[in-house]
Amino acid sequence: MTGGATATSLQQVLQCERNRLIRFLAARGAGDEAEDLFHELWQKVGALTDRPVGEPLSYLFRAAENLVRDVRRAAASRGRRHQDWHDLADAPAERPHGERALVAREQLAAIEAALAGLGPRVDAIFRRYRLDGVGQADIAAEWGISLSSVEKDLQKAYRTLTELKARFDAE
Amino acid sequence: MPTHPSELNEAARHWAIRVGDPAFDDWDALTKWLEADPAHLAAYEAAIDGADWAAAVLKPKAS
Repeated sequence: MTGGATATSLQQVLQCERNRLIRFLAARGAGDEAEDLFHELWQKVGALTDRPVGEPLSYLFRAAENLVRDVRRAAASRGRRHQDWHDLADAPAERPHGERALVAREQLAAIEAALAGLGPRVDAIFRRYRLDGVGQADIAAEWGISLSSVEKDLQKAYRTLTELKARFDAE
Repeated sequence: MPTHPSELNEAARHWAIRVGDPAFDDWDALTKWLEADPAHLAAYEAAIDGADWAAAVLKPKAS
């Protein structure tokens, strides 16, 4: 971390780069709501307490990407709740309360098995990348392998996990 | 420009993986890629969703 951008100076960068960020938000799926999301981003950034955030513009794009993911997740879970109400109305025979925990355990086991099936290196690299937040260059250095080998391993993990999630979603 | 679905999915995974890197700094290129074809966004989101889902399940406290 270099910089020491305060919320105010971040908002200045946000204002200067407004068009680029709105274009990104629109392309990222916000469409006509890109301006609204930009406004939400503005408020979020304004509420930050002063702290170093590294390269300000990169930080803002990252925040925009995360905002889009949060909005999608919230919409998806609203959809699910709605569906639950439907199920409840259709079939009053209630779902056992522990069912959600059971599904979570099943998913965990399936994900761990899928990653293990890709081999210990792919498994470890995926976890290092996604759970520890370590960058590809650092992972390559840790393993003494090329950057493209790290990318290939991550491709395998991502492909497998996308397929696995599709199977769960289809159930 | 990917034509076959598997090429599109691989390209989408490539972006999803790159964006996940804390050092990623190619946002304008991502914007242009997403704008190039409406199919790109759906493929990108599918690539993100699997890994985000797995990461959340493996580490529930993270989100």
